[in-house]
Amino acid sequence: MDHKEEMEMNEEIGIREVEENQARSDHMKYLPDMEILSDSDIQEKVIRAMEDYDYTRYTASDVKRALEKEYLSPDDFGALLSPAAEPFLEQMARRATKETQKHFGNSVLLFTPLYISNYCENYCIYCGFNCKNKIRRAKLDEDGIRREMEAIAKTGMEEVLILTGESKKMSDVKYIGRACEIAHEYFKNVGVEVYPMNTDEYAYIHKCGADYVTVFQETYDSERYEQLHLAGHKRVFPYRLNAQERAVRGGMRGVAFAALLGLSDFRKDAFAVGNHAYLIQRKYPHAEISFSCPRLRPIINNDKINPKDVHEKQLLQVMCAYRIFMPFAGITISTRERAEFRDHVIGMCATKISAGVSTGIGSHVEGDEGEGDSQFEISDGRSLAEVIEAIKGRGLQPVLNDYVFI
Amino acid sequence: MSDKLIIGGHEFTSRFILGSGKYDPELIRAAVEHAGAQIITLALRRVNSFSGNILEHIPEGVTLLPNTSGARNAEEAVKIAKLAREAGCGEFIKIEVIHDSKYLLPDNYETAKACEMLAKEGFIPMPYMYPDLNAARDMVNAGAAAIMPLAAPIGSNQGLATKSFIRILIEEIDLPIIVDAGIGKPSQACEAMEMGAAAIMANTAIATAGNIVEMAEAFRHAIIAGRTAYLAGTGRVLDRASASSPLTGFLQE
Repeated sequence: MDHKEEMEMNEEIGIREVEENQARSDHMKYLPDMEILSDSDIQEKVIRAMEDYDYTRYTASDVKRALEKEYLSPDDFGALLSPAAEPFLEQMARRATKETQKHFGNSVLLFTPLYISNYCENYCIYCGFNCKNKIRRAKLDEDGIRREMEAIAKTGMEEVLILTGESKKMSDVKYIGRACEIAHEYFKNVGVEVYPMNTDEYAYIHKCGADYVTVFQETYDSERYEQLHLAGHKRVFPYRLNAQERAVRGGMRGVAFAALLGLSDFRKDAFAVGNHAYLIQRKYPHAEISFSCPRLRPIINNDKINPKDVHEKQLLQVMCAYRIFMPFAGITISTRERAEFRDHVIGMCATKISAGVSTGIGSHVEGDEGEGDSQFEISDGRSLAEVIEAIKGRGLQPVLNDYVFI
Repeated sequence: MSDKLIIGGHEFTSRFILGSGKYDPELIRAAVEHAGAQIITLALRRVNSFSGNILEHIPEGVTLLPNTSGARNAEEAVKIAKLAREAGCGEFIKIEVIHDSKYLLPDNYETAKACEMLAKEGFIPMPYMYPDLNAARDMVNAGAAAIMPLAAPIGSNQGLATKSFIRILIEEIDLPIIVDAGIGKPSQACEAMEMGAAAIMANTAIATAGNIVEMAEAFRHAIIAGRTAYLAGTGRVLDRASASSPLTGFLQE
């Protein structure tokens, strides 16, 4: 099913259910076990800047001025994300390519995500893992994790991103930590994309061998966020938003930012993502910054033309804007995109690409059907060897590892 | 001719060093065969790959200069240096301590500390630094074998943006000054050598050239030309025209 269809259907169910059950919790209120960074003003700054961001006020000359600057301000970034920049997409792509070359040369990093559990206690109406969805749930035990990792490592992969559904009950910090320790035996570089944690928990996961943390904010529009995340820990908007700062304080080397473009106004969300990363980097200059660019695909053949839809063109605009605004940041291109799109954006704005992806649980071992269902359907199912060939075919250099754990 | 580059007691005839970063086998081949490189830098974090493909491409007789990129402080630099030694990369170590992900500017203070720690461990430390005379002196005292000031922000191809400060280092420091980062064109490499730099490190300039082999050749010639000019002693270049009547013409005795 198309993501958006799925979302609209889920949304209907969600709204119906909400009507039945009026008492939705305050999504701005922290739960008792959630750490509050009372000394940080990053969230306030990100939200204020996003609210003030009016992309209709930018003109072609603002875009041209931004493209001529060596170092761009957040306002220049805003210009590049505006509709006024759409006619300049070719120029943006050229500038982005130049910046990518300058900072990353021909290198393209490779990694694979590994889903170790799909239990989730959140009710996010657009997500296949949500707790109301009747899917096959599974959680790999230590042996299962080891078998999966062994199978992935055999393909030559050296970087792994460990993912779980967001259930602290079913996949507690210790379980994730153990998965990182095992991953450390098989891979050079270990990252996690799990539920947001407190600083001390991030420090623990770091000690277990992970150095990179990805948290998607989904949307920075708090009202929309409230409508989409109906229950669970994830419902708490500020706790999620401050995850990257806690991760950096917990000793993580790098943090990744993303909005699921299309959930709300994608231009505002992309602006907030960039600005959030910008503020974290200014406050913690050593932090390695990266972006992911997931989107909800628009429905093809839909009569309604929605200006908020994120087509490939808009997605590329966002990716180029990220690149030009923060030329040193990593950008990961999702397997949700088709192979040809992915092959073209590496070297231009993306610096990292996944390969050999399976979003189910326990599905890397050959002959194994997998125990748990997938989070979403992928559009690029190529193996590591195939992606390596595609990278070389574009005159770029596949890099399996550029990191040392110390 | 016995004009040799001596670093930590080791002699080299080439004054071109291939920097690390934008690696590919073609670049390494061009740097060795056409730019005459005898020293090749590489990041341990890349060597660390299981596939080991970088070490395979290093021709025999070339000296490896592993760097500590990825280190955010002196302690991390020492850890990485030790890993490099274990991986068989030898005693040379280019110290890079960076905790700024935007401009990638080196931290001179932590670099000097790392220099001292690594010299004590028997390494031949070559610190990558921001050209500051006081910091360079600290690094010399800490046991550095060469000083590697940056010419411009890394990867920027801006040329000798810090020229005046590098000139001071060349004047005041008795170790080889190897200009690192920012050299974008052969003419800039030539200029630095003419000033008295001991060697040039470059990567992006060649890696991103239209024709890698020809650009490598061009760098070789430029570096030799600059070095020869330095040894020959550059001629007198006057800032302004001489006054027609001398200011000291009134003196009688």
